[in-house]
Amino acid sequence: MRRMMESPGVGSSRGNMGTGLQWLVRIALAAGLSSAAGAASAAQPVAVTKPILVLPALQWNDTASTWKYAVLPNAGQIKALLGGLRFGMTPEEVGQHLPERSSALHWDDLPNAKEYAQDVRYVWLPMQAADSLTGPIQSCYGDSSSVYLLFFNQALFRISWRFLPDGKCPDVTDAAEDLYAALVPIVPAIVISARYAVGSAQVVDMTAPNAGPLISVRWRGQGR
Amino acid sequence: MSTRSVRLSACRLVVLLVPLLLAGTASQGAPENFNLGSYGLPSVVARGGKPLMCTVTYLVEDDATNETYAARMQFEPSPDPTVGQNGRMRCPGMMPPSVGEAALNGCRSHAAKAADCVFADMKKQFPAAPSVDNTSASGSRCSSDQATEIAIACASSGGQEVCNVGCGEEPDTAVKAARQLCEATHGKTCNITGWVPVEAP
Repeated sequence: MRRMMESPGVGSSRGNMGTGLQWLVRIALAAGLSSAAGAASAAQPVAVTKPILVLPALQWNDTASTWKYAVLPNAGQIKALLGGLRFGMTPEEVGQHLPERSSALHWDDLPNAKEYAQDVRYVWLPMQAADSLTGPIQSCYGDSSSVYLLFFNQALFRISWRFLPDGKCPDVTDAAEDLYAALVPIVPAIVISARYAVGSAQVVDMTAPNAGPLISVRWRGQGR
Repeated sequence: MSTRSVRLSACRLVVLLVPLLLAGTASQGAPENFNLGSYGLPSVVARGGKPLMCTVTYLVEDDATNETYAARMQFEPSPDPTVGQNGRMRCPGMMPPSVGEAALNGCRSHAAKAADCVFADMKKQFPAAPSVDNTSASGSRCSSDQATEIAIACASSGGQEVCNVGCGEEPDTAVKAARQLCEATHGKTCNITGWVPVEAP
């Protein structure tokens, strides 16, 4: 969510110049100095706002030797982010939450996710059709963006949002940041989240904390 | 009371107030340095008529993704929860390394590699040797008894960001402190900035 802002520069103060000086500037510009002025303007530093993601607060005891989470998210917040899904659901149970699918989901029918060494399978749906899983996303994303639901041992363990740019939305960083900023405050004992780039695509993963070595596996941009 | 004595009292009042007014102006304009404890008096501190507990906020950075995280650490009010310093609850004078480590762990739970997570206040050597050893835990935190806002300012250096942290009573002063430190440390224009309140909203 890096918002670029032109720093207040020469242009904003030019209105205060006297009329004679304004004419001199105009004459100078007309005399061929416009390109130099343009170069100077382009050299003005551009201020960029850096987003800061807020981790769950820790509550320490008075000797600063032990801590606990200050606030735990309530079940409603988690349910809203998961769109009614729960980690551990079977493909059949997940299928019941995907009303846009015409056929039931079965483990044996699911394709294999090649980035994992283990037998991990997945179902995907277009992000535009995944309303219940896109609540925090306010910014644009390309039409071919999608949400992947990944299963291991017939249990849902990861939801992976893959934001792809297109002509209408050439930068999907803000969309990924929108979602990631909503996931980071959740304690990792409930959800483990990660954001990373694969080429021009942005990926946000939300993984069950008991997923073991599967947690560190990342999409590499291979085919579906 | 005669006119003369009223004038005399007014003059005395002005003489007494001028240094205070000048001191206030100076503290607004000058960069605030957490380590030197050079803050002016804190402003608002209580919600619901009760002083808040101490919060120490760290900024930590995932060096691989340039993601910045704020890790808030809250401390029990102790020993008397109704009394604070200048209306604020005191924070521990010394911060055990385990608190900074917990802040780094908050970042590590999202990072591809644990070594990617560093404190956001980076030393001059960091671009050449990017590791947590070349960052400062104490420089990356602000405590609620001395500051309201914590800010980061960074310069981009070949895709990698080098950053420093500042504290302040207002976002602008915190950003200014971070930016001045960043530009002095790294010799670059540090125009990538952000801030968050030290205490949770």
